[in-house]
Amino acid sequence: MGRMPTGWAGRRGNQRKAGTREDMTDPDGDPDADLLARIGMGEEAAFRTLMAHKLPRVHGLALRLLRDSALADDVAQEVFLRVWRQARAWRPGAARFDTWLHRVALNLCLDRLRRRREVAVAEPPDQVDPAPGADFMLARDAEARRVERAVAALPARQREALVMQVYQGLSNIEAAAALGISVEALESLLARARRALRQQLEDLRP
Amino acid sequence: MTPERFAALAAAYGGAIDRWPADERDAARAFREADPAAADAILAAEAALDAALARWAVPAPGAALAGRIARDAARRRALWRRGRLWLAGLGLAGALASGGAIGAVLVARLVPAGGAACSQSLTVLGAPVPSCGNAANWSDTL
Repeated sequence: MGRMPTGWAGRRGNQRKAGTREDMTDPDGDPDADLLARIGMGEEAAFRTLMAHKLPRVHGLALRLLRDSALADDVAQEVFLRVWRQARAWRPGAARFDTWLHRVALNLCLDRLRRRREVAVAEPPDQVDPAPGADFMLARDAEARRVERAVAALPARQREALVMQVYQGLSNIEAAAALGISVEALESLLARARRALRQQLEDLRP
Repeated sequence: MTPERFAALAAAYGGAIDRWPADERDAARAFREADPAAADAILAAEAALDAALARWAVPAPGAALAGRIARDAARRRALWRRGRLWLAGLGLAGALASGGAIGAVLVARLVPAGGAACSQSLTVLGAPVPSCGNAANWSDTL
C-alpha cells in the first residue's frame, strides 16, 4: 500500500504503463477540488458532503471485488480516512480525485484479497466456505448471483477492468489510470472479459 | 470508422455508444447512420450482455457507516492535534534541558580546575575564580 498517485504533493509519476500525463489531466478542472480544499482546512461538513457523493461508489467497488460486506465497510472506511488525512496535500490539476479514489480503493481491495489468500493457505478452515460473504449473497436473486459468480470467475485484471468500466462508470481514460495501464490494455482486458461473460451468461438474455 | 473498429469498440465497451470513448463516439454514430443494419446487429448483441450484467446490483452502504467514518476522522484529528501539542511541549523542554546541559559543560571546560595557575584565574566573564587560592592571592593577580 502506501502508493500515492499523482495529485498529491511530493510524489508523482507512478503509473505502471502508458497512461500519459495528458490522459490524467482534466482541462476543465476537478469537480471535487473545492471540497478537497475545504476538507484540507479541517471542515467536517465538507468531508460529510464528499462522503455522501462518493461513499456508495467506493463501497460498491469494494463489495464487488471482495464480495464481503464487512470487508467492504473496512476498505471504505480506510479510503475516506486517507482522504481526510491527506486532503491538505491535494494539488488540483494532476490526477482527478475520483481516479485517485478508485485507485486507492482498488489497492486496498487487492491487499485484503491477498491477506485472505494467505490466511486461507496458512490456516485452512475446518469447514470450507463456498464463497466469502455467503450471507450477503443469499439475499440476492438467482440471476444476480449467476452474474456475480461469472464476474468473480474472471481473471483478476479482467474483473477489475470490467468493474471499473461497467459498474463504476469510469471513462476509458479514468479506468486505465485507476488500473495503472494503457487505454489499449484496458480495451483488451474488457473485450476478453465480455467474451467470457457472453458465453457464461448466454441464456440470461432479456 | 471501419466495421472492424466499430465491432472492437462494442466488444470492449458494450452496446451503448454513449459509453464508448469520447473521441470515437462521433465516428461511431456516423458509421451507424451509414450502415444501420450491420451496426445495430453488433450493438444488440452487446446490449443484451449489458442488460445481464446490470442484474448484479449491490446494496448501498448502511447509514451507520458514514457516521462511523466521520466520527473516526474527527477523533483522529483531535488525537493528532493533542499529539502536536505534546510534541511542542517536549521540544521546548528538550531545548531547555539541552541548553542547560551545554551551559554546564562549557563552564566545566572553560573554568580552570582547582590546581590551575592563578595567573589564569579569570572566568570567561572576567570574574575571579573563587577556588583559586585565597583573597590575598586574588589581589596579586589584579
